[in-house]
Amino acid sequence: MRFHPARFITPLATALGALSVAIALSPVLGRAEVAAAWLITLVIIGNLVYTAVDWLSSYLVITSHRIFQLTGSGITVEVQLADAKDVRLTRTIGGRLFGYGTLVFDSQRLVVDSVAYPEQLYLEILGMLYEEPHADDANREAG
Amino acid sequence: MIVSDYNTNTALAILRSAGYVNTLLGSIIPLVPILMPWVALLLLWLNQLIASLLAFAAALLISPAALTWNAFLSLAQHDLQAAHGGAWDVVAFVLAAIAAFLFLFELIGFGIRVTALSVGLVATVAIVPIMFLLYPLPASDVFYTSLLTQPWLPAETITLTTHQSMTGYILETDQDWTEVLLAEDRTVVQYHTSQVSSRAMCQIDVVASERPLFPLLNTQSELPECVLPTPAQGSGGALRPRQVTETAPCQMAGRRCE
Repeated sequence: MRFHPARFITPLATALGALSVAIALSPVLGRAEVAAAWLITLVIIGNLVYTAVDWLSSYLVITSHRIFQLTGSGITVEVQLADAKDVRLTRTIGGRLFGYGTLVFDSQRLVVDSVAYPEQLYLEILGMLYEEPHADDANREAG
Repeated sequence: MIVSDYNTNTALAILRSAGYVNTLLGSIIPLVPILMPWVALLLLWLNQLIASLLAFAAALLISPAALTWNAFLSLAQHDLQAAHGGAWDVVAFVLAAIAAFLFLFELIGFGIRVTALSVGLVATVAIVPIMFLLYPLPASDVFYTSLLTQPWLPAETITLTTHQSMTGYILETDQDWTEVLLAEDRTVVQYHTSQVSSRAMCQIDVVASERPLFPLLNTQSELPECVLPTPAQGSGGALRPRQVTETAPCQMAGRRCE
């Protein structure tokens, strides 16, 4: 699954703000000052573009065996579900407002923020963490 | 090297007379107020909000500005009058309104620190052009030339027993010799201490624009302006000093030139 688009709020706000300031200041500044203002604005817009590309190429993958984060360069973070001792869900006010949360595995060994549909995902992971041993036991007993 | 006018002999003479630590501190300390605004900007870009705000505050109080506060205000007023409403202003206003809305979301969602950093980043778009006006880049502007070439020692008007006066910086003095870096041509000369009849601190180039944007004290220096030697004073009848900077071998050996 993709991360929540809340990741765009900061770069988008910064880019729009910078663009508005640059447009407003352009008629009253000298050539060198205008160039400096637009250069900074372009860098900030570049950051927005980078965030967009990063968002498009990043995925959080949760299988019954492991959790890993995929980016454009490959798998960056990976946790075996069997190794995970605990998982917590934290939600800020903004997270509650916009519908995202942060999953913390094993006392911050892995922190995944901007997770969309966090409560459903949290319950799914909890189910996989704590129900699978019972399923194995049942299988063993049956065998 | 800048203080010695790029003369290696003079630089070595200063180093020998003033000492390594004093020379190092004296070279670094004048650079602090000059570089402070740019350091503040760098800290802001590195997400060091508190340090950046402190550095900006320090820059306003200590960094020499190319404009006075009144001149800056009148320039800003002139620019505001020159700016007239148009389609681009409407675009800028709409973008600013959307950005303000997003900043509000950011404040609710991510907290005041993240929002302050974002607003600070946007502010740099306006701050940098203003800084170009107030604090020109040291490498490209003559504004700093007089500041950088000014030695860290106080300028003094030195009067000899022959009534010859000159302006310089006392590098070292003891009961036998007084070593002076002349302000006029940046050479190091030595006089017998007994030949120096008086010394008085003075001010070279009292320039108002070298003051910070918000000077803590609005009073100008009470020091008198320095006198530069007249041709008559500089030649006949004067005591001939020992010119350290033109006698490199003995100077390099670390002893006084005879």
